[in-house]
Amino acid sequence: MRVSFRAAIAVALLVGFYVLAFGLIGGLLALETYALVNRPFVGLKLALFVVPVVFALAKGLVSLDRRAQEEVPGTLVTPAEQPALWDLVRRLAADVGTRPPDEIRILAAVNAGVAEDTRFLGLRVMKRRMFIGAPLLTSLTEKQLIAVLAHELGHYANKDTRLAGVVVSGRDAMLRAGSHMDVEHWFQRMIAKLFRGYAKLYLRVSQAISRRQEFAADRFSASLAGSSAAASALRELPVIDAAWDLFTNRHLTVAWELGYLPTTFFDGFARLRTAPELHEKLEEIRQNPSDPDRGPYDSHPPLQDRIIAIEAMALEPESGWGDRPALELLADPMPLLDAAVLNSLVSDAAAKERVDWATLGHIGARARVVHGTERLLQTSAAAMNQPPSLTTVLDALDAGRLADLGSFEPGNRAAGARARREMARGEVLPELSALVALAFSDAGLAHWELDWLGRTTFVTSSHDFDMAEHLDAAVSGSTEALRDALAAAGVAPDYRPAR
Amino acid sequence: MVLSLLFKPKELITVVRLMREAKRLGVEIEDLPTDVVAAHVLPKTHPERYGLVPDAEVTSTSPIEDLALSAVKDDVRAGNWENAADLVTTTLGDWDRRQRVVWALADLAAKDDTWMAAWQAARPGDPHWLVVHAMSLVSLAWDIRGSASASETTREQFEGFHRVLFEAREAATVAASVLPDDPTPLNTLLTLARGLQVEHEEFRAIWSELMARDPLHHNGHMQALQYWCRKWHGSDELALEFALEAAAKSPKLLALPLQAAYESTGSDAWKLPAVVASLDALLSRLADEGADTYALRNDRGYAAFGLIQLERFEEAVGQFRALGALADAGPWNYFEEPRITFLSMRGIAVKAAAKGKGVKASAR
Repeated sequence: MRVSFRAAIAVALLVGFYVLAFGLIGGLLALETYALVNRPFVGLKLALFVVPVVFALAKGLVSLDRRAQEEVPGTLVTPAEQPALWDLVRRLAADVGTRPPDEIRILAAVNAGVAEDTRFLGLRVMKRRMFIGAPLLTSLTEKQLIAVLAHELGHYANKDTRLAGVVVSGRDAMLRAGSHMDVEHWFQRMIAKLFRGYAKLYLRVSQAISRRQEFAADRFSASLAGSSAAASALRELPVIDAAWDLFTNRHLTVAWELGYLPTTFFDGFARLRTAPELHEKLEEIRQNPSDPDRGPYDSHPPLQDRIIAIEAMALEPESGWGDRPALELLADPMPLLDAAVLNSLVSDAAAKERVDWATLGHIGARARVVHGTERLLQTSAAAMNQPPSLTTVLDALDAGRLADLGSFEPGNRAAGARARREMARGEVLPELSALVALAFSDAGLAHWELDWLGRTTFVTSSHDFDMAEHLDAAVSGSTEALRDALAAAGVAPDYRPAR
Repeated sequence: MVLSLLFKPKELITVVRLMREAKRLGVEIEDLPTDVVAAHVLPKTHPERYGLVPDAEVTSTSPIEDLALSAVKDDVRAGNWENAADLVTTTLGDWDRRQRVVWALADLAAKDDTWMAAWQAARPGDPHWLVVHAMSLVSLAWDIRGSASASETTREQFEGFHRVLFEAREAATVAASVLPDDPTPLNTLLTLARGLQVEHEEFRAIWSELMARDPLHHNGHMQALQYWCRKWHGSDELALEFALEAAAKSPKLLALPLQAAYESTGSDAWKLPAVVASLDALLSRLADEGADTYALRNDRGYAAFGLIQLERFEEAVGQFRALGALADAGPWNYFEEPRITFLSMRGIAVKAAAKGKGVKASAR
């Protein structure tokens, strides 16, 4: 089937959606009027049915057009602020044969896209916006970025698929169909089902168009940026995605929860991208790119197929595009990109203390270690009836209370005191070791370093920090050597880690 | 389950009786004491008519077999370690007994090791202390792990189990180097090989070391059989192959193929000609022996179990007659309630024999 024919069907279905809904409402109202005029009593009874149905249908129609009044995400950049980026986008739009966006916004996500604010299921366009993920700007070359943006603009190119632009916006609107319905209400639930059934039909008809559009959009990528840059951009996206995940989950979120944020974001991300400990993992992703989970109605063909198709085109890049980093398109990029991240965080970001990355690593690791010592401190305090401190823990060990400091039961119910003690040893030794490490760190003799994988290393300048033997002896009930070592390091006897 | 009971009137009556009993005692049916359930569920037989001891007299408690060992265990419980240490020392050369003494003392040390500390302090470097110490760590490791399935064992229990088993391996290696002729520390290594998931190659190396010291080490063969079982690190075939090889070495090890058949996950292992031949050879060996030792009762237990599988009920009753009141060895001790298992198996054998079912003993 030809694309234009399919597109025509899809548009007809879109229009049909309104026809169906308005037809139902009109028919019901006509029936109701007829009944009220001729048989008022039956009409009243019928109204009990008609009114809620009409209400639900009307509500469903409204939901199609009204997006939840959410804020548009991203940091707006004007042509005056970033002339080079705007020039590039305008030139790409012209090359692709569509109109340039009305806005460009920078997102704190590994994503790019063009979206339209529409009415009537995408049949009328209000505003066109382009979104560009900040991590893409810092990680791609100029040509790779062109490939990504050309693909997105290509979705709106009208050269061979006249109605296809409408189809794209229509899909977005259809996915929203019935989303405003109250599922608790059986009537509205029923209407929502009706809408969704129709939406599914539409999505199925338009699916093939969408797939073809993805390949068509990739053709724009390849013809503007060249096959090799376009394919490498597709390979690079999952790599940037994995790195960004690591960056936000193991670094930003951890810091955030402790009440901190780094002073700058993207210098850290740049260092993470080039960290030797990540090299192997990222290279593996680059060699075996896999698709992200985009939900059941996603129209993208598998990444591998797209890469093969693009490479098969073997297109040369349009002249005039460079291999320089995409970042060079931006004037004074770092503050803009950092602002994009800050804007994406919830409002109390201002309340967080801003520290440099090294300090942040130490703070994050230390907090984790402090957390791991709390149980031992509390149990020892309870066992010895003393305030929780390092001394209380050592006193409990000297008093032969090791078994009481554990919290786990041996598997054999008939197990003796020795088994209990042995289980407690396995639990207490690492906790005591952490407590001692904290004491040294808080005395300024050591600190933790966090690598970009999120692993921590304990670093000490003291030459004789090998406490393993002292710790073993302490857990076995003779703490003297450990106490001496602590005293020599200047640790206060009643040391207790502050949070 | 409830529905299927409707078609089994006898079992339905039993269940109804048990429900009534539970109501009378004011407990849930699952929480009824084992003895009460047994009284209703066990086959009703008249054991005395077949020369068997009455149900009530059967016990899973072993009689004292080694007076000296029993005495030193009491000493240890009272905090005196000297006699225990001396007994371990004197068993050097009598390897099967040494194994029993070391294992019994190691079990005590796993519960409470203050007497071990006193022994070590008084006789520093005593190689016999090392032997008991190594074995006590194996016992301790199993106390920490418990015998629950892996899914019901906590991460901490597994961690403790492995940590202590590694210590046991170190200690046993040291003990073996101090007492180069003693198979006991090697048997300790063999025993803990299962828990540490030792590879076949390495296991065979330990095994040949043990065999060089005592080719008929009784407990060593038991441990190795377990290792070769499918549930540990072998297979039904490997276990049976190992057991048949052992049985060919000495009549003392004739019960091993029966144990391999018992551990087998397939149903036909008992009917294999090699297993039946081992059973028959064991039966003729047992004809001249009593049931005075644990090892003999163990052999007879597996023989009785195998005879029931082969529907040779009369002969099985004969083994139960020889076992008398003692349900302390295998295979009964595999179960949570060895006595009940013993009684129910004995009941099956007696009932079937009384009805003239199965293969007659006289026919052979």
